Amino acid sequence: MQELRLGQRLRRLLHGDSILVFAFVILVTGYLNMSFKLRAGFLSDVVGPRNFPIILSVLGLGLAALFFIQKLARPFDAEAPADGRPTLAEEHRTLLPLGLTVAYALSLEPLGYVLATFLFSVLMLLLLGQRGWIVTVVFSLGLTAVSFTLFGTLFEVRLPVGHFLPRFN
Amino acid sequence: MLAETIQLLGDGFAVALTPKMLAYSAAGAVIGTAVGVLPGIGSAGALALMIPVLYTFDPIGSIIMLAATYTGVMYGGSTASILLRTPGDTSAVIACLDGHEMARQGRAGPALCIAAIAGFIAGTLAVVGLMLIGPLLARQALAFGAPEYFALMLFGLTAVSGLAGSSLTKGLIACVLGLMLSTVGTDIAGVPRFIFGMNDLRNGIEFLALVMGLFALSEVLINSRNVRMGTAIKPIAYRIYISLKEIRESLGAIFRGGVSGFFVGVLPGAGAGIATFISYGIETQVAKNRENFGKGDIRGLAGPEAANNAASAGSFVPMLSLGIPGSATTAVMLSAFFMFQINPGPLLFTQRPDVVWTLIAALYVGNVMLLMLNLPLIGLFVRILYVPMRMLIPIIVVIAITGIYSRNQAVLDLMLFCAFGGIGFYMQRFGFPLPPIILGFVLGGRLEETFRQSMMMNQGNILAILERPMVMFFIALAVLALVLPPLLGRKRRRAVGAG
Repeated sequence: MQELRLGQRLRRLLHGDSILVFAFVILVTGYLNMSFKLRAGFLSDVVGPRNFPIILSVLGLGLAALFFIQKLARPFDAEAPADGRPTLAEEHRTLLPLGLTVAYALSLEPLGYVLATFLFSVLMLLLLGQRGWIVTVVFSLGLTAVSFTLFGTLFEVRLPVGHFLPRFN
Repeated sequence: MLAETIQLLGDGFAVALTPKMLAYSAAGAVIGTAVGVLPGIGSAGALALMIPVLYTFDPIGSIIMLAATYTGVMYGGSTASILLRTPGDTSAVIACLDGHEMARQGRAGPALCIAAIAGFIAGTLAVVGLMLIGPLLARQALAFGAPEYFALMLFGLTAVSGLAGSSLTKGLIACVLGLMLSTVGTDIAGVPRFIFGMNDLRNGIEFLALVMGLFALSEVLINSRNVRMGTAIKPIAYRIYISLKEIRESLGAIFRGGVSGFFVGVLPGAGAGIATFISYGIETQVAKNRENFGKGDIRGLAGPEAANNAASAGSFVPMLSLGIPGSATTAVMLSAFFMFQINPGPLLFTQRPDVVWTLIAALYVGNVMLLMLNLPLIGLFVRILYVPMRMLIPIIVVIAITGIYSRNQAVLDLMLFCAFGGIGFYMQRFGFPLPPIILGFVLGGRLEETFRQSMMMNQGNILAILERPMVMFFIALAVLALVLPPLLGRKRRRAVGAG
């Protein structure tokens, strides 16, 4: 029985927030390792570039340890409802808009601001279930024109013109 | 002395209230609000963009317009945070918490109202402070050395207990993550750290990429998932205007935020962003029912909004009386002064009282103008919430991406924005609060810098700084802020248990 309870406690460490803290521990360990390799810029710098990051790493690892102890020590009746581990379909719903945003960011310089923004807007609207091509295209043209006028013309931001289709910009 | 001050202020108002100057003020407030809503431009950017245009204006009119634009940008930033959770500046981050939560609960109107009212009251308090004790405070602020700043930053970090939400451990982990992110880039001694050979990271992680990713993009991902699953909640604005009860509830927070914000604003380099975090920290310590913070508590919006405006006015103190710009925005303002052959410094109050007192009057008139223009427009702003979410999502992403790109023209910043969006989404899903990351990131750079300077000043003996009274004061405040809430909570739980 006791073994089962221990197993149940350990299984908590495979759920949502614990996985994030595991990722944090890996990040901090890498950060600490890199901190040790830093060298001071000048001799009078008694602290140097590495000590503050090392203090932060120790603090971060300590907090992660505290998190796991709290997680394991939490009584069963205080167990929070299931973390709601997302299904693959839910992940897909989240990651697709994120992927589209990454693609937009990466295509800005090669395609140019105007074309990339227009394409992103059309694809995002379609992804979100917008029906009717006319609304989609008109809205995307309007968004592209307004954002270009605001940032490119009024605020004189240097927006990318694109490598392949300069005539669109 | 007082009679002379009142007379000089009266002269300032006489200039600021002429129809031409009122028109400048109104134009500045409108432009500022419009620019403040957009990310990436910021108050310093907005003023810098206006300077070439203002070159043709008369000096006093230009200064009035710049002052009104500055206050307008601050209000516009909060509006975007409250309605869309897209903070374009450090000082607008806190408005994402209770402000955006209020909007979600159908109280967007009262949230925008209290932001304007808090800004007006605190702006007024700060203008009085600027007028009466400004020059004296400016000299005191100069005596603020690295150890005092270090202690102030430590005190600022205690705000994490108010920002942490249900789990302090998770809040502290998020805060350490923010502190770690702040160490990316070149340190004060010129040593590049954690840049992985990427030159674009030498200046550190772009703040806008971090804040827009964590708050705006993560919210977009949540909403897009809800839209695609058909579970999106239709926002409803139940009320447009604020009730008297809500104003009464907020008054204490406004005064506390106004006073603390002004004093933080006077310190060169501290800035309005830090003032909002400190104010939120204070509110969560002193308020009854602190468990309501983060869930749409109007005090959690009123205090930081007051601190934001008061700090903005406070930052004029070192600029006017010592010629030292305390922030990027006052540095741009200072360049405008130089353009008109006005030299801020100790002699400005005696040599050009017309400029000083007109600016003070203009700041006040700007606050009134902002209140008069924005209160009637609240109904219009709230209508943004009625735009279908599937159309709002591309608008937010396009504006965020363009705003971030406009800072450094670096695709790396956009990749960081996407990465922080994903991180923010998963952190929210698993109950990790996001604001402590921003707190750690904002305070981290200054904390390390002042820590290293303090160590150098004392040949490596950090305890030597405890001999300084201001350091002791801030450290005592920090200890109290950390120790008191758990003790009071335990006492309350015992009382409830006994009951």
